[in-house]
Amino acid sequence: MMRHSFVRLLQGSPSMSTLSSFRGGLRTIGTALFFCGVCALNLGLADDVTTSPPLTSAQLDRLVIEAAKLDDADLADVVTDEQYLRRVSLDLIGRQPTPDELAVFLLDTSETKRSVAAERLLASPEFGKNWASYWSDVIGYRIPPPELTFLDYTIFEQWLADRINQNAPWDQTVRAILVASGKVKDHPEATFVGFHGADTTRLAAETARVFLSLQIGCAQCHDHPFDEWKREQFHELAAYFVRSSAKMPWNDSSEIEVKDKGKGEYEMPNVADPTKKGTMMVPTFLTGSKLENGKSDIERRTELAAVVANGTNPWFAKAYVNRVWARLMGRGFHEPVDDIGAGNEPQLREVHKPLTASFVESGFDAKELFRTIVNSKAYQQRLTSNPSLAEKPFAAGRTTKLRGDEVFQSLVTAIELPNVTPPKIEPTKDIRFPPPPKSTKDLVSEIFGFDPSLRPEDISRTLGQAMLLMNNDQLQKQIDAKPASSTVLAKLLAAEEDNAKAVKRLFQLVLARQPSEAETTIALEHVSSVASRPEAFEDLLWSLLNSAEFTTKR
Amino acid sequence: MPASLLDLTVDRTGLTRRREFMASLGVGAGVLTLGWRDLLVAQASELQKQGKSIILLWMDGGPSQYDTFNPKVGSPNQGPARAISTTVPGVQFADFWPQTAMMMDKLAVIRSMRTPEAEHDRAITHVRTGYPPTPALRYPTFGSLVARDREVLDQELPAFVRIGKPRIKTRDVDAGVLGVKYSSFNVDEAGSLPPNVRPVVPADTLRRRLALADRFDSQFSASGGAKEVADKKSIYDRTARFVLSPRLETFDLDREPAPLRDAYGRTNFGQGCLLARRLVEQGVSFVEVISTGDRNDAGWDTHNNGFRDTPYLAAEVDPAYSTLLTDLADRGMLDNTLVVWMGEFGRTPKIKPDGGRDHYAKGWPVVMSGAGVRGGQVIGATDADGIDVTDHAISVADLCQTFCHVMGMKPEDEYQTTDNRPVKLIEGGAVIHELFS
Repeated sequence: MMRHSFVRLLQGSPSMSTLSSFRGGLRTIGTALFFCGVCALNLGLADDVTTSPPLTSAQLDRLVIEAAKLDDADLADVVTDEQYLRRVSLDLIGRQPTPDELAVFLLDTSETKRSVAAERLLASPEFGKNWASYWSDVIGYRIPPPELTFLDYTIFEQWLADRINQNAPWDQTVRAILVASGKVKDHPEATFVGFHGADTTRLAAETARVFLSLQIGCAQCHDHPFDEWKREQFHELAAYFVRSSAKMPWNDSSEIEVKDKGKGEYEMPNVADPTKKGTMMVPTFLTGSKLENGKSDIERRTELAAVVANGTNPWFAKAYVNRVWARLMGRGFHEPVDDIGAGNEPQLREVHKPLTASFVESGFDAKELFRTIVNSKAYQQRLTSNPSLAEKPFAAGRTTKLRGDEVFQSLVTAIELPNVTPPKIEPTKDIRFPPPPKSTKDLVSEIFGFDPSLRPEDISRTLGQAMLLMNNDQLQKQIDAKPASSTVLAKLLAAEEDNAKAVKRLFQLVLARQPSEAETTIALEHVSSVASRPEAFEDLLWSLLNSAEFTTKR
Repeated sequence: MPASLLDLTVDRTGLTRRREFMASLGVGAGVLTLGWRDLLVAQASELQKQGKSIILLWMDGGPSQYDTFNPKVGSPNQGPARAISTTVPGVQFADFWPQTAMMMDKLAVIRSMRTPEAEHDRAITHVRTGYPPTPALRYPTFGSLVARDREVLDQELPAFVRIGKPRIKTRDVDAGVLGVKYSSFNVDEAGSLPPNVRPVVPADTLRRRLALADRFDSQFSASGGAKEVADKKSIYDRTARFVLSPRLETFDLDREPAPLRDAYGRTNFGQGCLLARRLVEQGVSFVEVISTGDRNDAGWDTHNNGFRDTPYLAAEVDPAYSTLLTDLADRGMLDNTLVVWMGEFGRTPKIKPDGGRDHYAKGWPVVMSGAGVRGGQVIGATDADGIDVTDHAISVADLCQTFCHVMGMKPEDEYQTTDNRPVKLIEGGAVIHELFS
């Protein structure tokens, strides 16, 4: 039985092209028989990757209806055009639509306008920027700051944004990240290994968590309590990194250099007596695929990259699909998204599986995956105020909090918040480690930022966020309605004498939608209750920026 | 009465409760305000230990034991600092601490810290979280544990405030796995509020705007945004209470008499100590004041030119520390406030040619006062040359156990990490009972 599933895995793989992964695969067969029996059973290898034609959005909807036991009517109730454009713009390009984009979209009468809009967004350079920032957060939130070096992810994000915009296959991108050597400024993909200081145990835990959504970190010290990970397996994974080194310079992280140490084998520490010699480990992947000792750093990491970023292991494609689905749908098949191990019971396995298979089949075509999801009715479901529907998995749309960068970009779109960077302070003999200056974007992103691997319920709003939107003076300057301020608001009021129309434009600007009748009434009541028109509209703009909706994807 | 009621806590701002208590009753926030005092009165003895605060005076970089509170007269390791008498016969300090020496009746000087870490980042993590550094888990700093313990329903000021900036930002330790909710509220410079705290419009305007935003939020709430609106409301209510609070005046040091401000010293650290007193007076549970000397980012990390820099650093701390103790005592606050003086380790017995010392984690000092600590005593000892501990080695876990003891927190209490692992507040160690006997 076990052997059968492994063979099927190998045969079903479209990306077994490189020699090294093929070698790894062959070894998998050999070792699985005696080594991986228990864990393979628990991981459900047999049902994971199978060959099938790419999934259409309609097929996806059918799968969701069946798996979530919904009526067709549940999915038919989709969001309005306005709601769709804001949702899909936030998800794909990380900001709300501008009033112009919204107007053009609303005027379009074609039936395919939603998919056309999605296509336009997928082709925008902002798409890559947005998702590079997501992945940079995924990686960066778990990298502790090293001694005396300020980690700057900008170069990595630019590199990744380009890859994503070119729609480079996800497996190739991850391989590049795992294999990279050299200075970060020359080889931005070396950021992952370099920023972790080439630390073997951290890289083992994080490679598994970030790219495979497996939590093997606690197996560093003891066998995993829920999943089947053995302590040896953690350290065998760490052995792939044993010859990597990262030189940490003072201050400037772009000078971090990843290099081959040239020698060394990995030893698993002796738990009973840490002062005693440990056990030498052979680099072995979680499927049982092994590499002999004595290999160079680059050979080790090339082999690791080949077995990790590969559709033949049960986790790589599944992990990516789960993360994208979670961000787009507001909840993952597995929560938290970085734990798809056997100990964590998934939702809608019957959807996750074929969607994953389709992703593998497409050659890890990320844009195709996004396209399939955002064109589905499941993605376009409305929010509900009906509690019983809200509790039912995937029966209605779900709100999510905007990520830090999304909040900043939305502030830029709404009120043209300028991005100001204070001058850089050069190190001196007395002040050797001046923190790098923070731009407005850095500040907003940091304050509103969160680790994207957390479950949505673990991401809380903070005092700092509220204070920034309430009291920040740079923000307040953009709220000024005095004509001399020449802010967006001042121009809007000058151009629009009719208060109801001005209210409508303000809503479109800040919330990317028209106000409801009730909202117009509230707004006009307010305008008439405040003596000065500019002041009344300053209040309105402030209130919309400080509304729960502004920082929420709905 | 169920045991869970013992989890009630109170502080000077009024009535408080713990999350666990709420959860154990399984009821919403509104209900619990009823009958509060009755419950509290019933638990009066339990509450005696509550209402305590900690002020941590953090000597960033690791001060030399020879040049502070454990001089080794006659040893070749002592260096140029001479020893002076304190108010307790037989106990001597380095001569950079004349005012603190006059406070010895209030001080318990621990001379025997013995810890495993002698690199800044690792030692800071260990000493400030109570746990050895590990990549597996970002343990919270002790102030965040206190903030979690002292979560107040209607609080205006944050429970955990930090004054001054760590000299090197990359070494900072924060709320870790507890999350930003329990992070410190940071005041970089005593006397001025951090950005975004003070409203930029009149209070009436801000209230008017908040009310308007509430009306729009109700609309969103009714159309599927109920959860987000409820989330937002709770944090906005708390934020509005804070930024519109008359207690923001607490941060305004101009309200203190000039002679007192002078006595604390017109340095960031000196004024920080004064602010710490004002905050504790208003019920803040954990205040950290960081000493870095402000001139450079070496702070107390005096590898080079230590004999030049240490007197300067001590001159900043000595008046501030001693004035703080006097001021707290004069106001009757010292009984409820634990004042802790410490850094992440000490410095090597061996003196470098340029008059500095390297890192050393055997036999370094921590000084405590207040909150039941018996002053005038020395705990533990090192040998005549200060090479190692000869009596009563104290560990980081012992220190943290002691902090828990003072704060009425149970070290064995657990919190959940984001991936649902239970972690004890503190593991191992024992309360340093001599402090209180």
